[in-house]
Amino acid sequence: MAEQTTVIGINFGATYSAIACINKVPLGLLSGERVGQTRLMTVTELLRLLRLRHPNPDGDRQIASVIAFSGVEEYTGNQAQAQIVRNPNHTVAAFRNLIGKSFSETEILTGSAAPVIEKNGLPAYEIPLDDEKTVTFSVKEVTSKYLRHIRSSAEAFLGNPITGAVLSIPSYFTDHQRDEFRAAATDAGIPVLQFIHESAAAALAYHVGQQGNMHEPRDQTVVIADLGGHSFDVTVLNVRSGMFNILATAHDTQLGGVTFDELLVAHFASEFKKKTKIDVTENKKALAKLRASAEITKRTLTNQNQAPCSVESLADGLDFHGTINRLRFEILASKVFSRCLDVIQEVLTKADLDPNEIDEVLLVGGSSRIPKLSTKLRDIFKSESTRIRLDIEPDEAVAYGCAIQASLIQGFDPEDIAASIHPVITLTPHTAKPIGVIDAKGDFVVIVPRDTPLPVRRPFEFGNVAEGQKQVYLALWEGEHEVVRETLSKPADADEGYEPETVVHLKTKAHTLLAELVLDGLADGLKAGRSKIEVVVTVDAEERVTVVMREKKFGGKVVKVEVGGK
Amino acid sequence: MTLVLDFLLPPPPDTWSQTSSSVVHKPISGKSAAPRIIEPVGPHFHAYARRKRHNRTFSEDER
Ligand SMILES: Nc1ncnc2c1ncn2[C@@H]1O[C@H](COP(=O)(O)OP(=O)(O)OP(=O)(O)O)[C@@H](O)[C@H]1O
Ligand SMILES: [Mg+2]
Repeated sequence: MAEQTTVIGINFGATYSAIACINKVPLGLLSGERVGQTRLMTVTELLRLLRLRHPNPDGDRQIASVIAFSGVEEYTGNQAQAQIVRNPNHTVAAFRNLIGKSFSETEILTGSAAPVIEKNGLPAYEIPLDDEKTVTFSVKEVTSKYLRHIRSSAEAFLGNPITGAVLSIPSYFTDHQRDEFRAAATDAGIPVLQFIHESAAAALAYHVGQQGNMHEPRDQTVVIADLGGHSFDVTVLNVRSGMFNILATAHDTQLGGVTFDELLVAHFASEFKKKTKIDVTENKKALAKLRASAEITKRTLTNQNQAPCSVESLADGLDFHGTINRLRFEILASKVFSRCLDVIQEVLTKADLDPNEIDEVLLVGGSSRIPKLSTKLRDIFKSESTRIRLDIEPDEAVAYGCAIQASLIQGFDPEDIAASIHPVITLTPHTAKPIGVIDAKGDFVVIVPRDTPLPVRRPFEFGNVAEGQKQVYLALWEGEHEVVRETLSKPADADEGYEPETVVHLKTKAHTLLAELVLDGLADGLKAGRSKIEVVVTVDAEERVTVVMREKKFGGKVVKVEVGGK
Repeated sequence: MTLVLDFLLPPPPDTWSQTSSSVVHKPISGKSAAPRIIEPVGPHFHAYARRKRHNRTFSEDER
């Protein structure tokens, strides 16, 4: 048996959770892998492995964020989810977002089971025990119990105690919520290495800001669109020289997988009423049953054009059997898709970015599997150079990113981690405008983009100068965005009422001249391509810009200039 | 990470005075450098944190 690592990533979602770890692959269990080769394992692979060892008949991949109580027994995950219909008062669901909130701030989500009560001003659950007594658990206690199950199932799988974990939190969690979450995780015996934002975790999973899988940094700006069960969270994030910055976030907590489920519930409830004259819209138990079935119907529609929905004994002992096709579902949900686009538009506006400036859109969250979402996104991201990506299992990407981060900091001294993530270190000035040079065609070439954390150092190189050229000149500019309106030319087949169409996009132009440099004394009569000029632009945290230009092949001459600084 | 730019650097314009090798014009626009929290994640963050905690420059860090 290959050795096991003991750090993991945990994404505790409001609806589903996932665990991931970086592991040595044991003995060719994954086809085509060499024995003991170190690589990243995704949750899917882990579970596939698990199933090879302990075949899992229902093949569930996600762990429902649900805990059910039966006497002294506790059930989590899918076993607990099944209790929402059978024993709602014994079952706690959709509790994640309540951690660290007061009772008055409590928002009850669709599909939550046991009612939320108040205890010392905080939300809590009163669970009936078998002997007619009840027991009250605070949200924090429920969270800790749930996380304890997560930890022990990970340990059972890995065969080792967990030595460290990176956990994700949504962007809208307050510091207090994060602290309460930390306390619950610690109570659950999880050695917390770090909390990271879900969006940053997803970006890590997708290797944003890196050249392929290499560790060379590259500048990228991405949108992370996370459509989960109960919320839609959108983040614009950029990576500059390997540094991750969240530029803007927007979210709608009334938009998620449950929104689609409810549309199907309403649709099938009215079909049932037409057939039987029975109205189930006030019947809690019937609704819970229909909801569970509708979720399956919705998932089936992701892969198939038509899907059934069946509920035995929905009401008054009558069964329900219905079907729906994908097109009908997309029509029912068209408003939901538009709301998704509104949130994306909002985040781009907040970040002051044009859709053309986005390199990639990363789709995460289980509901982003709904095929129509990617298609609709093209209404905003029209440029072909913007990639819309869904190539990592969307409900696993966040856990996967947490596992990557865990492996990066595994073995670090906890005090070092704490000191490094303190705002004293992470709060840093950023450029607000791009800095660049002008190329031979007169176009602005960005060297240091806007929103780059300072200090930054950017070396660049010119492969050649012209034959016989003895001096080179470099002008450094600060650029500015300019809105460019372009009227599209009238198509040949335009009819009479043709109105010219204009497109608006942003262009960066040179705006303020910062400095000029001339390097002379290049060897006379150089053939094109023989000289190599290196330029290093540095901007420090005091906004001082330094440019050093030198000839690398024949040595000697260097020009240096310093601009500004506090 | 060295960016290789594939255009020629021109010779100095006619207006260039032969006496100096550089001219400073303006600093980057004052309030431009707005502080922000960077996300403490990824393979490059720790080099940044180390430099900042020990107050080192890029070249000192490389030594
Ligand atoms: N194949 C699929 N097609 C459509 N929807 C799916 C599919 N797979 C999962 N979902 C939906 O994804 C949602 C769960 O997403 P995810 O696992 O990202 O939840 P989460 O992070 O806990 O969500 P949140 O925290 O936003 O509530 C559920 O509503 C589920 O029905
Ligand atoms: Mg989520």
